[in-house]
Amino acid sequence: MSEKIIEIENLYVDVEEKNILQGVNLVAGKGETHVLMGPNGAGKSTLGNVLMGSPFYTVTSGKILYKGEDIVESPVHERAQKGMFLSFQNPVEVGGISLSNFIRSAVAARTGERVRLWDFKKQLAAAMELLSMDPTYADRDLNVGFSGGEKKKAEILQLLMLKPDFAILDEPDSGLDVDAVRTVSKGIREYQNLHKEGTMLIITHSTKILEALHVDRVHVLVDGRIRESGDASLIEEINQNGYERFLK
Amino acid sequence: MSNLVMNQLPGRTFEWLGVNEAVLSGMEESYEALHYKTELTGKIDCAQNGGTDIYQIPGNYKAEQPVYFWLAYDRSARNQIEIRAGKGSEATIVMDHSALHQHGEKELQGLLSTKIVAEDHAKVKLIEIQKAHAGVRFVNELHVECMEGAEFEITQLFLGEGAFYQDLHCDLKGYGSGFQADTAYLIGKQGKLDINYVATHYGKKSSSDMKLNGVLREQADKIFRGTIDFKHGCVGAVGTEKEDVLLMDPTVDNKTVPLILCQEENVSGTHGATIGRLGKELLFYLESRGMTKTEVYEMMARARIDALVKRIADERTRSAIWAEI
Amino acid sequence: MNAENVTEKTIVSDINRSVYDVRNEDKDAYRFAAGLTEEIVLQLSKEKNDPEWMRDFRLKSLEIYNKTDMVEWGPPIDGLDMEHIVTYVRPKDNKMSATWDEVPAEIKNTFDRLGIPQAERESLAGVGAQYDSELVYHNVKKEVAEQGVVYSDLESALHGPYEEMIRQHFMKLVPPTDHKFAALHGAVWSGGSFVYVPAGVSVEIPLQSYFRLNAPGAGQFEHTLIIVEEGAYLHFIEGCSAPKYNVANLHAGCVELFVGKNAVMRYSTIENWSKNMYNLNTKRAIVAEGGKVEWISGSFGSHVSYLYPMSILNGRGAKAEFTGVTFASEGQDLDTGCKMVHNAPDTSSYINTRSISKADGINTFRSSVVISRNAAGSKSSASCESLILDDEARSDTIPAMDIKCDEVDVGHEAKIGRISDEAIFYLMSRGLSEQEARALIVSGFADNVSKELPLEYAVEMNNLIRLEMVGSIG
Repeated sequence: MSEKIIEIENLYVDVEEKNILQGVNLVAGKGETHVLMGPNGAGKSTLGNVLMGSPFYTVTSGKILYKGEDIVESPVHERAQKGMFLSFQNPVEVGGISLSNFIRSAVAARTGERVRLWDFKKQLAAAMELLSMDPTYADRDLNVGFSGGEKKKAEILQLLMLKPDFAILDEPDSGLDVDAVRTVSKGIREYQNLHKEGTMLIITHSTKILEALHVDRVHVLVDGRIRESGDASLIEEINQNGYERFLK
Repeated sequence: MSNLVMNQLPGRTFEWLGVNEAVLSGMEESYEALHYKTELTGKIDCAQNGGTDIYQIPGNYKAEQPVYFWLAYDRSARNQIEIRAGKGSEATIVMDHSALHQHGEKELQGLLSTKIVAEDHAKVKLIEIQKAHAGVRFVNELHVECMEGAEFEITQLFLGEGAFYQDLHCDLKGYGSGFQADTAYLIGKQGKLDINYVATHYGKKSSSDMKLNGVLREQADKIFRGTIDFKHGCVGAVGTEKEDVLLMDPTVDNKTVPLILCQEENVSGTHGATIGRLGKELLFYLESRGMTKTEVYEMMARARIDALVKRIADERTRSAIWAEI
Repeated sequence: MNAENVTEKTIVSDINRSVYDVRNEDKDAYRFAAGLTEEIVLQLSKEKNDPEWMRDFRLKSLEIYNKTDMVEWGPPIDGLDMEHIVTYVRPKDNKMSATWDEVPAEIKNTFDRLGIPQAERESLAGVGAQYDSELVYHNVKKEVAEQGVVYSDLESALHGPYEEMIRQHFMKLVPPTDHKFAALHGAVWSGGSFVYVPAGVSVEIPLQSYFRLNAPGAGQFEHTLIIVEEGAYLHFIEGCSAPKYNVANLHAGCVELFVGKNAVMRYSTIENWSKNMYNLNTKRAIVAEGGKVEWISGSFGSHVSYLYPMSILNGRGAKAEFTGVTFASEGQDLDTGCKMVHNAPDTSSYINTRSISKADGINTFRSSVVISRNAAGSKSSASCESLILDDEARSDTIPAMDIKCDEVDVGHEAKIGRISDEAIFYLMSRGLSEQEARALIVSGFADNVSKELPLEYAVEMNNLIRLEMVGSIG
């Protein structure tokens, strides 16, 4: 394996005193694309949120090493500044801040430099075009009144603009129609092209989004534990037989 | 010097809370006339009656440009203005109070009483930006009557460190009349904001909607009294009010008193208030994009004001505010 | 059912209160002259054999009463003329008993009809019964007493080993200076209960006090003082009723709860005073670190009520919950709600109220939530819903929040409206009459309280709602 980006060691996580993750182990290297699958309620989103430092979950034991450094205690914004990114399953609506201004502030926070407006606008317009987003959305308030599909695209837009080193995509395809899934998938491929060393963890319980993507490794999470890890062929197996085999 | 009692809560409550009214001490016994300029379009006439200037918007006249009032506030002064919007007329009115903060640190008291009558099916929009330094006390009283099908919309922005007293009564007299308030405030440095909005529903199927978004910091002291009063007979009326207050530090004092008074069975009234810090979910989302908690708070404070400014229906006022803030 | 009925307004008859309305002659009772003078207070103090400090306290309270103005908010109380209120009525042949057999037959019959002795046998750890100004019955189960739990009438306790403890707590939470009727209470209080639960003791089944005001034109001023020590648990139930007279009666009781560190106190009230009653009751709890007070309140009776139980959260992590339902029908003006004071970090309060207004009944929900500067990390959430059943009724919602700390989450929601025609239509399509449908919906609306009550009380409360809605118990 290439240089390790993320190493999760025996991770236990509670939400409101209920134990959700029960000893998760997962390692991903630079430039790899991993997929986390599993039935509803297995704890997939919990893992994604915990990696980013969500305040709704408590890590009770275990380690999360990012670029070799334990980040369990790191504040959320530091994780982001160090190149982590979470595409939210249900992004929050934020009135008063336009999508464009928001992304510009985020890029500035990520790079620690002021972003030149002209370059930024050009890049943003190109990325929005790739994602078939109406250009007027740039000036609309962040996620406010966006449809489900537009919200997901706005998350992928941020992925493209921020170019994180480690991106967690939490169900980037849920609730989308066929065309939108295709667009989101195209966006993810574009990220892979733009940032060859970027690592991804895609959380999903459907397989459509994965069809046109190169996948290095697949993990199946059941009842808070990774039951099996394998190569991309696991996707096809799950597609045909579901999770039955892993539930025992 | 004398006391002025205003902003009375329409249903009194526990005295010790100190929310039943505002008592302004140190008011002058008499005031000079508050000067102002206007920019009237087309057919709007002005007449005098007693001490009141009365502006008449003719029936069915739809003003394409906003009507501006520039109030001078070069000293302590008061005035009364009345605006009558004839049947079916439409107008946007801008009350420009920017002079309040253009006299340096000068202490002054400004008092303005405005009456607006929206006759049947008239649509009146009022935009008011109130910004003031410490030492400025501004008393703004507004009384609105809406007849059948008439609509009154107000956008108010309060900024700065002054002392603002805002009384707004909207009487929804006619069938299907409507009132909307869209208000934002950012008060700091010991500034004081005292608001009393009262929507009184008389007409059947009348509607009211008050939305306030605010930010308090640095010993700001704010009270919002918001009352939806459903009078007997206002069958089918709907009223909502909602206030969101972001508190930036532990030196502020926020009072929120949202009343619903109801004497009619077939109505629907709701009110809501959220006060305090940003929601965890929102904070997590923004922090996950690399901003610190402090940056997020500053950004969200600013966003509340920006969101309102974006909704201002007059381009000229909008750009003036962008230039200011 | 014929279709025309659907659109007709339901005619809801007035409550049949027969159980509560049976009144006993009071010609043999010992009663003071009406009105309030120093002589009357001294006479009462002598009658009670008060310790000296208590006599002085009464006189001081009277002084405050005479100097204090009535509040400028709330329902009118013009019909209440203190010159005509008798402050003390002792039932004939009264001596407090620990068995029902010794209670005078007439009085025992009253409590029998109200189902108190039966409830005691079946589901209570102890019972106190007050008739007019005096306790007529007081008993606590042996197992509970053996744990060191004290449940007695306040006056006996004043003459026993707990005198000093009472002196240190009595009207310290609700001082006579609080308002005019607190002062009145301080001057003429009589009867009521004292409960002491030692540290770590959990009283598994509830204690109950029942207050019955029989004498016309009288006032009832019982004082309930409860001290729950560290880590202890108590559920106390209070029931109130009176027959209806044509003259005004007054209830100005006072409840003081001291909830210790990590202790939990639940205080449940089903109040069904008759509709000539002025119910000006004051209830207050102070909660230490990690402790919790839970108020469960059903208000159905009285002509005028002023009732806002207050919770003072005085230690880190203290909690308060208020769950209430108020039903105002013909001739009633019920001003109810609660007060929450957050006076320490990480405290939380939760308010959930429902009100129902019918005929010319008036409901006012009134509340205050105060979060002081030192209460970082505190939370408060409130939800109040009001239902208006016809166009003669009135319902006002007057909450106030005063927040002086930024690190808080405060939320407040209120809704007012009527029963939806769709809901009634749906239930009628399943065979219920319109009256039945409305009664069912109103009972469901009030389930925030009924589901918190022990079963027997939930049943009683639903019966009260049914009586108000349909005019009979189905």
